[in-house]
Amino acid sequence: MSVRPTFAIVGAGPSGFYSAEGLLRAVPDCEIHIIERTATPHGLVRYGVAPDHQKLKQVTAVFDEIASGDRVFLHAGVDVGTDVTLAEIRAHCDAVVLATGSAVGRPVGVRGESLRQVFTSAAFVGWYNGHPDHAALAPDLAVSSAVIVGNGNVSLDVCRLLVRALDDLEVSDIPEPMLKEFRGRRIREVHMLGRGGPGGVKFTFKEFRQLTDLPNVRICMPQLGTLGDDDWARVGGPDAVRVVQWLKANAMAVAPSTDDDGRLVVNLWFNVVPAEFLGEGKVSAVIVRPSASRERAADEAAITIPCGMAVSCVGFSCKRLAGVPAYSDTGIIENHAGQVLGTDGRELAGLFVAGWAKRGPTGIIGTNRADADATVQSLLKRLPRLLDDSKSRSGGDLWTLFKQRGIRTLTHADWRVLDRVEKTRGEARGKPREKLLSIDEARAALRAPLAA
Amino acid sequence: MTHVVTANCDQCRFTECVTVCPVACFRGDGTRLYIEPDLCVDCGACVPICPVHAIVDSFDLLPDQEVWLETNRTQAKLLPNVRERSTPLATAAQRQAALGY
Repeated sequence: MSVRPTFAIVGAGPSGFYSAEGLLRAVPDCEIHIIERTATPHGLVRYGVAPDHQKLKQVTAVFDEIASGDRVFLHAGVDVGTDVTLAEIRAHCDAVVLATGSAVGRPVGVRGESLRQVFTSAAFVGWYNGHPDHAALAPDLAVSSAVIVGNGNVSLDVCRLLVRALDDLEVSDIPEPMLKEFRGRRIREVHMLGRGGPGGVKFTFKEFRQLTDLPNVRICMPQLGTLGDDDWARVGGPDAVRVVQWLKANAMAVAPSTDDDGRLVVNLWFNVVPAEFLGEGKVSAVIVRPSASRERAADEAAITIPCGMAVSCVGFSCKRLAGVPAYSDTGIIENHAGQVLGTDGRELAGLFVAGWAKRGPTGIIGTNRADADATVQSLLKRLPRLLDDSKSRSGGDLWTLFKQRGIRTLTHADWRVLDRVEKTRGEARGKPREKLLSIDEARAALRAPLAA
Repeated sequence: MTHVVTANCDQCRFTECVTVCPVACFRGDGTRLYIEPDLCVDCGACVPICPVHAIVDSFDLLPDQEVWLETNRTQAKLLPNVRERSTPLATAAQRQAALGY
């Protein structure tokens, strides 16, 4: 009996969908199974892209189009590694692409990080986006000062959400229970801690401009008078050049000032790293010390910044998955151009990786398209041998496997229903959607879509 | 807001941009590419990858580049989707050098 080439993709985020797109185009008679841990597809576009970046979230229309083909099957609500093993998935397919992302927030690694109100960006961003893993985080935003560690786009997203006018947030897709917490927000100032100088920022100018454009926010540089020429001189990429230009052009406006003009203040600190989070039970301050990037570091004293919450936006690493032989020091799955490698550096036949799990948490959504394509090319090169090897494939299909395990998966048709439900619920509140926050809520909505 | 392909694409047509566009919003003919503004989600992935810096965020357009907004909009409506990278035009290397990139 001839079977058509069957592929499984673990993770229904951007790189999962773009891997599917590439495979569909290259292997016309193939069958693709996208396996997703949560109840819904779209991964980081749903749970990572900021809730006030709705235009960017329109990319999901492309994912839904890819998934709507009659050779693509979404199995949502299946946790590979818990509900089924990776080995079992591999036994049912000719090749598997891991597109599992980097779900684990990297801690700063200093004392006091386990205090309440100290969060990783993975948890905090997941929370305001309604990720089922983080929906119960319950941060207290009724604090006057917040600290953000890191100088990338995630830091700016978190910062913008903390200071942006409530009216803007009310029309985003922050879920209602989280929005309630934002309504009780008391934040007057945010401190962003950058390890490098002004020219070492990792965020894009576009994202920075969105912060500077907020009418209720004043950008401030507490160290403006003390930064030397060398602090300004080391400039990274073209975006950092523009950030530096902006800061220099607005030197008057960003100078430290004791005047309170009613606006919220975002303090940009440079050449500093957190040394310790202080507090009893929950955080009350962070001690920052000069980072190694600062040549005059030795002369400078540590500074204590009072804060009622802190979010460390210093990166992500992959959640470990049994059956993946090796992870690099930086937390990605060891691979060569998307082909997963064993601890001995040898190729693991039929196992591939794409997206953040492959290259680390860098780039933007579109970067994953070229990235997934490169993985698909690696797979195609090896496909004839893989098909040959799997002529003796143990048989059975994934539906049977899931059924045997008692896993009730959600399909893409289910997602279409849930999508309508969420949009309808959102419409009543003037929001793009009101997210369903757990797989149980999703199942309830499927049983009674109109009641939801 | 959108992104637009400006004059530098002429005589080049490198098509690196289409490999990273998450929404496949590039259109084009044999000479150059355009962005369909109603599809572009302003992610900016195409900006740094263009070898001749032809793609610009509409916010950053210089006054003499503003004309490209309308040109992109009208041409994109008429031309087919370009989703896969192709060989640059024969004049591309020369043009790239002339542009100083």
